[in-house]
Amino acid sequence: MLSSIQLSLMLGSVANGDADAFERLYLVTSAKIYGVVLRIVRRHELAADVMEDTYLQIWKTASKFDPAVISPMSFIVAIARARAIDLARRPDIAASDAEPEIDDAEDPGPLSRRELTDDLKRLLTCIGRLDPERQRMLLLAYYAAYSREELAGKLNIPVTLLRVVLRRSLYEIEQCLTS
Amino acid sequence: MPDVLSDDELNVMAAEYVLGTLDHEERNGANALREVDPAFRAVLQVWEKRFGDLHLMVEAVAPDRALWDRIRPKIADIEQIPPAIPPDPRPSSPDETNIGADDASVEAADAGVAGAPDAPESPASTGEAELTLAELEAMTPVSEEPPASAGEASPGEAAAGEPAPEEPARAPAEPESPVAPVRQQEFVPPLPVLRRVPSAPPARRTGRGWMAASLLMTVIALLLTGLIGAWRFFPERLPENLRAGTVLKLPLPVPPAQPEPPPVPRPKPPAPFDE
Repeated sequence: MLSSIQLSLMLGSVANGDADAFERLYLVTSAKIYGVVLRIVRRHELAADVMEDTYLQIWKTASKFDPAVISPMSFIVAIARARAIDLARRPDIAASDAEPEIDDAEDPGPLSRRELTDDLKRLLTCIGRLDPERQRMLLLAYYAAYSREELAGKLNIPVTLLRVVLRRSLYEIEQCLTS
Repeated sequence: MPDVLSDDELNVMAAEYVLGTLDHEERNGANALREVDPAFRAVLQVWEKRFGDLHLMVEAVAPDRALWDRIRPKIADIEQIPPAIPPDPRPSSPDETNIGADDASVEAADAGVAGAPDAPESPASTGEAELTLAELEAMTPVSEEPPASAGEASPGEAAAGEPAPEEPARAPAEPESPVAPVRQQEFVPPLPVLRRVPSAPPARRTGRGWMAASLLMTVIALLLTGLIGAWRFFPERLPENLRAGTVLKLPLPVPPAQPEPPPVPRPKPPAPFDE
């Protein structure tokens, strides 16, 4: 993956209407983003739609990127996830009985030592302090965008309880990260 | 959802939005709120940053090549949100109304910056650093490496960082702030990037040449300054071939008698600036 600085520069160029920079940005980020999106919507056709929405939104809002606040990849991932989850939650999509084209994998992919950033280390440490079931809940929610109902099902608890457990866990993560 | 949300509720909503657990209706509400409420946008950004790096653990999957062909033509129909213009850090003069118009190193200002209506949000003291970024952009050829086998971070940063040392020397001479998005400049610190340079693989490109060239120029400048100072203040201490007369090849008149005898028995030139 390119350095954050180069990605930030690309976003800067994109913000100024540089279509070549936009293409370079797509070339270096699209596989990762497609991976993220596919895990959420589980079908290639849907993932392609989300990719289109995502990159067009990047083109439109690149000037909103502020490297002092967030890394360029996180900026892009946030847009992609928002579009993917919006789609996944759409009633017609959610109710669809089309077969998912990718496995319902629970574990996130492997991570080399080199890629482990400080922020990620800190987050994983904080998540690691929770009960294993709650850790599983958070990771399923993040990676596969499980709905509350689906999470409740996985954890074998009623949805009302799941809501409370979720809030509590998020609160604890926040406390841990800001301490 | 209640009409008015406490900060706490907003915080939880933002966290669940980013995590992904809001339901359809809640997401609609959050998306609407996001458009109009800067406080909510700020909380969202906090959580986006918190969870941000989790994407590192997702495996990349290359999309169909045809996808780009689908996306590329559509950007023509999209109106980009223009970058905010920074406040001019220098005292205003009548000629400098069109920011970015005459800076040759600025990338195409087609994004309509001159017409950007938004009040600038970044601090004023950014002129030189902005230039750094714009000139970096202009000078650094970004390599188009394929995503899966992407090049290492260090060579990329080496290339990006090495032009940077030249900028502080040149920035004062440049007239205008660039068009590049304002909020980017605050964060590009040449120094941390330079720290990585020693670890860059040997066979890299023009970056090294730039650094060597700028160092060479600095050394030459210092030497010349020293020499001219010596001509001014203690010319008689200079060896024969460095003296003003020799170097400048001018026939200079003989100075009045000096207290110390000259090292060589010949008339010495006067300090060039004594009249």
